[in-house]
Amino acid sequence: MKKQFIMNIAVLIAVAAICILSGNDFLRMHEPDLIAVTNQNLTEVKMLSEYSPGLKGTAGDTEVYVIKGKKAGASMLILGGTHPNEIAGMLSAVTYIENARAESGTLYIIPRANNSGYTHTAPLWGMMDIVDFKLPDGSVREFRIGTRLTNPVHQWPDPNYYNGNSGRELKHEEVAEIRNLNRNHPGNEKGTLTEKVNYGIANLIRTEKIDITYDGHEAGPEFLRVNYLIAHERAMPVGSMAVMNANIEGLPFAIDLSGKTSYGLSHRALGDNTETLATLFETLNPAQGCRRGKMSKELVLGGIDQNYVDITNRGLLSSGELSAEGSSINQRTANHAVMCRELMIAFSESNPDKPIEVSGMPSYDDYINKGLENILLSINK
Amino acid sequence: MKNSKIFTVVLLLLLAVSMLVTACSGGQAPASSSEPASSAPAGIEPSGTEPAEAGKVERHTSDDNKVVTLNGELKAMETPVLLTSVGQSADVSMLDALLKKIGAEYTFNTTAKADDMGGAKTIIIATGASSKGLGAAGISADEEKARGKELLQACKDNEVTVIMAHLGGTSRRGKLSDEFSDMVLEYASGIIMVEDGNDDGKFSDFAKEKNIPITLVNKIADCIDPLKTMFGK
Repeated sequence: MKKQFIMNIAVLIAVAAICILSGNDFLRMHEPDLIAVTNQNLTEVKMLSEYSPGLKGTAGDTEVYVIKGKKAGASMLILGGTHPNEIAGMLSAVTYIENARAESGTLYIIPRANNSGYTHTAPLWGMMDIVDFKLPDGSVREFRIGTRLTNPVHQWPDPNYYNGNSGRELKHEEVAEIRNLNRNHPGNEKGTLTEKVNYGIANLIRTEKIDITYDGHEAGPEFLRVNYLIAHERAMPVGSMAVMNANIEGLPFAIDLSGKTSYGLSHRALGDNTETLATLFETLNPAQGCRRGKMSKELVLGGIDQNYVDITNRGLLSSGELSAEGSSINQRTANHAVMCRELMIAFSESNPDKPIEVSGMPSYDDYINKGLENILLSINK
Repeated sequence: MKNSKIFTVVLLLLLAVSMLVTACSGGQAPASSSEPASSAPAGIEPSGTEPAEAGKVERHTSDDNKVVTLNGELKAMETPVLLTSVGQSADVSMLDALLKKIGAEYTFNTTAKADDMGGAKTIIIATGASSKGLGAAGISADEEKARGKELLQACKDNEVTVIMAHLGGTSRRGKLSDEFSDMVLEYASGIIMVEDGNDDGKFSDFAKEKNIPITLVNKIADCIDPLKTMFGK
């Protein structure tokens, strides 16, 4: 009996030890990634709860970085991390925060739009939780790879049926999308945590009179609109000009119109419910595809995956074709940064009395040739 | 006691087998994950987005030879020029961006009707179907066909030159897109297109048969030079 008791205690201690060790991994994902705020042109860092008071003190509250130009002009909102596992949009936003200087107009940058989504990964998908970059001074910049939904620890339970103000009806297996930031725009001040974030974004757009909104995403190769800018109908002229200019520079981007029934998505709902020109851009991230090989740093950062090269060679993909060179994080981040820049240029050309001009950013070739290791700033400095 | 042990072993074996079967089943990934539809707009494409089934034809353009005109030469168009769409794809917006880029003078109306021609001598029609574009315009595919038919008949009646532009490549091929293109081809005096969309020779064969010039470009940005020629720039 005594032997049995000791055995039981030993098992309980072993279980507790495993829980503590694995729990540390989970807790680590609640620690925010550091972003350098040494950019002299950074005017202000505020919280989204300023625009959605219900977010204050919650896991959904997130930083809004403001870079105000010397001259008046247009304003642009750059969203990264609407889906935290789509890391290139967030990294592009971080490079804007750390490098950009607004000559005219104002940049508002939210690098982790769904802050709660950074605190967990998708269960059973074998996703990496953190990616890092070793900088020339030996320091390491770490960024969490979360998942596309708000953490159920912060918003639970999911109801059986939901029909919020986005117009999107959610039921059965879709209902987890109630925690998807890009299904619940324009949000609800008194709604769920996710909706409060959505509301904060829409209210920021209204309050600050944001002229253009850019929502940076990534998609797996099977998605039909990879390297596409999806634009609200009012954003089509500026978006088309931006995409055409990118094409002239040799970047094979394309544009498509936001669907009328794309309820709750940023390019539809923010365009319909605010004055902003709402756009969303997707880059190719093979790590998000369900036919990818083993999860690895090479896949996440190099964007290299032989399965998708084979699928591409069989002609089975629409726009997410993958070559043996892969779709590296440097290239994907560059694509986002350039798409933002082209939108600013196109908007300024169309509105010469209200330009938004930004300097100080790395060039496309800088992203590719130097890599993010040499673009991200050291936090130690 | 012995029976109980055998029973336990059998249960464990069954459990192990069921775990193995489950682990090896490689079940279908949930749509919400495989489709980072995160950003997936609903109704991404209209019916008829399947690439045309046909043998591929010899390609004329390349990175070194970006523009090729067959069956004649590209000439300046008569002005004024009206730019419109039949099918409401986003390609008409890209063409609008290209024309702004070269400083062309034209009128842009994606849903122009016969009454909107305003004395145009040339009409450039970007073809290609988009359910989202049709939805944004608030019209059905049949209504779009009726509008296109009426517009093209007015062009014929008023001797307005019709130029067909097909800039969407293979993604603007398929049943519905081809129906819109066929409608315009019947009245076209010239074609400008991204060559990817002609991989089955549909447009070059038609141009040869009708003896009308067709300008093939390697990529959409390569339209700039031919458009300059067309606008006398």
